[in-house]
Amino acid sequence: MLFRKAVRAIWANKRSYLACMFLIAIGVLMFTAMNTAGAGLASSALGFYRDYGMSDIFARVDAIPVGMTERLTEADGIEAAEARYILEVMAETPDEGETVTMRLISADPRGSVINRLLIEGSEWSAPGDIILNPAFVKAHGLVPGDEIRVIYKGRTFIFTFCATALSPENIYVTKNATDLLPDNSGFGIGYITPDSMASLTNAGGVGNSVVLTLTEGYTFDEVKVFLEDALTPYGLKELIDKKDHLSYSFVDLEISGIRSMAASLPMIFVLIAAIVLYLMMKRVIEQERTQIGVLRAFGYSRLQIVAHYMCYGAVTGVAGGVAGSIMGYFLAEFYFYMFMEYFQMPALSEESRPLYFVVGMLLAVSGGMLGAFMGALKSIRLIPAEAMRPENPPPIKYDPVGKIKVLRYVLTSRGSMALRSITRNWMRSGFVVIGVMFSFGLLCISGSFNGLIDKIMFSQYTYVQRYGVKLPLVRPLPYDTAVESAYAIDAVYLAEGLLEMPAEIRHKHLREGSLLTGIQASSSLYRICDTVTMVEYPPPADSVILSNTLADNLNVVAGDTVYIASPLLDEDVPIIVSRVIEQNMGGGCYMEIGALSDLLQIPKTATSIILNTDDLPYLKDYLRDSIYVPSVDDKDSTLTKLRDMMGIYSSMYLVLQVMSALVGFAIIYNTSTISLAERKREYATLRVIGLTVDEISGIMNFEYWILGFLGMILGVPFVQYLNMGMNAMMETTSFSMPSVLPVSAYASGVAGSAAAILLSGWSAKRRIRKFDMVEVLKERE
Amino acid sequence: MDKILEINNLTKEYIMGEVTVHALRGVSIAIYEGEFVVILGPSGSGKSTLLNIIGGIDAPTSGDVLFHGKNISRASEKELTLFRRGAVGFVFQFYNLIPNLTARENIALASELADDPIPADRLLEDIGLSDRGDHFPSQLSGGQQQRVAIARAVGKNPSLLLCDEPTGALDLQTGIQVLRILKDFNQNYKKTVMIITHNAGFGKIGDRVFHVRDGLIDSIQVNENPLAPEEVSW
Repeated sequence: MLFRKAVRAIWANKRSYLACMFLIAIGVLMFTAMNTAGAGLASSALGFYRDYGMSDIFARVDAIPVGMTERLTEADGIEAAEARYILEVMAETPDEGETVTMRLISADPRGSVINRLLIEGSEWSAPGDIILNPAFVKAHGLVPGDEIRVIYKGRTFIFTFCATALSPENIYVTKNATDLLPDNSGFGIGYITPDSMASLTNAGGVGNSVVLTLTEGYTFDEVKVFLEDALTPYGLKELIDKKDHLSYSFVDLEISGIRSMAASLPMIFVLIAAIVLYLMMKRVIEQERTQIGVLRAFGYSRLQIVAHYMCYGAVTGVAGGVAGSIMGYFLAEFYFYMFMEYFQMPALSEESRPLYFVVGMLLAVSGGMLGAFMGALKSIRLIPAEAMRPENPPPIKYDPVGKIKVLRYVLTSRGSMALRSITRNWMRSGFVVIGVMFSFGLLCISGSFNGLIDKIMFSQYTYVQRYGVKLPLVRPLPYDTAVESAYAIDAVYLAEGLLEMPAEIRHKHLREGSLLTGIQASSSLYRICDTVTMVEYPPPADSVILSNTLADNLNVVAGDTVYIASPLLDEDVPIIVSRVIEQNMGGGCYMEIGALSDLLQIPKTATSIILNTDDLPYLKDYLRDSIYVPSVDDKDSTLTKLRDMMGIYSSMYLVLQVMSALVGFAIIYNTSTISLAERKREYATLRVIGLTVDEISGIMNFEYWILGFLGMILGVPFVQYLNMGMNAMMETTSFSMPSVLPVSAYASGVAGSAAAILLSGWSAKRRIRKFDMVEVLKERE
Repeated sequence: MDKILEINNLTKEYIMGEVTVHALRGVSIAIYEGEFVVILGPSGSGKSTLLNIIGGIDAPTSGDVLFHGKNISRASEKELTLFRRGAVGFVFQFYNLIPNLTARENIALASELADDPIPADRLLEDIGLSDRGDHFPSQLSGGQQQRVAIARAVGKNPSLLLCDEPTGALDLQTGIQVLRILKDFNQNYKKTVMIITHNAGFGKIGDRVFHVRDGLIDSIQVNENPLAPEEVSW
């Protein structure tokens, strides 16, 4: 019978309970979706790594005989080693005839042990067969038998697309670390036989890349010195641990980001719902005090009474949990869809879904019951006879509003009433402030996405990169030769060389892999620029400038000395850090190009050319036959593709924005509902006195605007904290989100919070209008 | 004396499930400016309903209520609000003070709405609570709260003061004090006061007494020499 009473009571206040259910549902939605997606991604990626022999170490060399790798396995800790050739080339697809960049990797048709391919379709059967990554195939609508024209060193090679293949080393495919997102149409991976590769490079039996796996129990550091010694004679350029490998680290970052969000955000939502329920139940107990007295007088035990009120929380929790789980199922689908867009691996595992459904439900029900229990605790202490008498109004012990004398002259009685309502119930007021702060924070973060991306793009592609085209070179060239060759092209009116070298930077015990970037002293095409202050710095000749991300990872401040380690150097070279700048994309370590060449003990060299042209099609056509330039990266098409790809993220953040505003509304709506129930008599009296509905709701609005304003003020540092947390989850050595949010983010926070306050104010006004003054005033205080 | 209020054939029905309750069955009375009127009747006789309709916080089923000739029974919600704001002061049995406003602020709350209010400090003096103006309702006794409630109702300087069992929750001595204040307001400010009560003793202090029974005016008693509140016993 009591359950029936509970259900009817919930139905009578359905909007308030719906708001609680919404908060719980959002928490469970995030819990289920993020955990399912995170677990699916982790188990799929780890399974793929394990089953297809993901390499533990990657080395880049000038050239190493394929047979030499066998010797590497003689060392303790190295289980297997293989050499292959990797080549970046220009390619043309049949669909548009557009030139794209392709990374060709030689693959042994007899089957490798390391980084084995998951092939779908017919393997190489003829020398000219090529296997491509599926995302590239999908982007170009290729079908087996299509021709892929590969242009390398001025020669055109025709390959036939025969199958698609996934590789554990290429789950996240970007051209380089500084690319913001995968560009599946502009960049592809092609696997060809060693013989086909040899016909391109004229270098059979050698590789320029070595992949290795470690014997169980060994680490990268334990074999690093051995490998450096063993590979240096073959022109070692780079030796990296799996954890620093672009694809591996990005997948790892995504998994850890989702996991940390799944561990914190859902709890916050459920906790907020529990607090709202606590406030509601506290009010219900006050209202049903007499009923509790009657029930106790009839013989119901305290436990039965508390259990009855916990029922309210349980029903709310179950309803919110079920709704959240269903929505979570669809959000997880969305995550899966997004992962499959960005990560190239076998279908995601969904085995853990039932577990997260059960845990999500437990979270929802326990959150609901906890809130209800805390609110119902007061009922335990009620003595039946006492319960049947109305409660004495609590005395006002402290009146901070009255203490501020000036308020008497500034505020009307209604203003004083609103201010005292805030101080009368500190806990509820505090909760509203925290609720608005939380909602404001989420609104700012979700609303910042487009602005941040615009800011990154603006600062990177407009202010930092002043060039329109970048031409990577197949091998480093003397600086002057490279630049003169560029100027020899009619369409080029400005050109400079860029030296980009991977290296390890060390500070005390900390080490980080980074890209050393050498820039022309008076460069007009590349600016070293702090993206917060927008101050430009010339590339230093006797020191380096570090990005904030790299400096943070190395615990470096300006004035410190760091050591640069490179396979080109016999020993680590010390150099002073002259400045640390905020930077969102890029190499991370900058120096004047001549000085960097000196530091690396090589002549002044360029690894790529940056230039501006007035005829891009001519330039592309001209470079088709170049033996030094494998691809042409033009900024405009990169930007266009980036903006297209941001669309999917943008809509996701829009959903998050709407949800954040709804969270704010749910919190304000529920607390205002409780306030209305408590002050029903006061407001009815005001109506009898002659105040209009607008004037009465104005009292409540004034109160909530003050609380909302406080919430938004506190929300500003909270947003900074959230942004730092988001950055920590998203940043890599070559990418970080701006630490300062754009004004538009705060504007969306203010707009969303204001909308939530206005909407609940409007709802409160409607309810005030419906008050039956006669009924309310009949009630005894 | 001019008529301040004219009520013609007023009825009020409440539908409670399948039962229709006839709270007023056709009441017709006239009230004059400056009168001290007592409406007397047992519980459930319809006197509170009559007062609520006069005060514009409830609507009749049929009949007319003319205030200074204007029919308020047909008025819109907005017009009723303006009517309550300017013309009527209410005093309730359970005071209905705003708990988080001081006594002075409670009075000012109503005064702020009026064009020609009576200053709150003057009213506090009138009700003998000058030294309690900064006290909150919870810091005042029942009688003191009711005095503040009267001051609040009077503060707007309304033409008509409606009091619903104003002494119902008070002891004898305090009740007398409250009645004295109401009487003083009636006499000093020349305002009309209507009190509803079930206490027959009150009948002696009114200029006229309307006896209500079963939703009808049973009889009208005219007191040529009304007693002072202090002379009444109940």
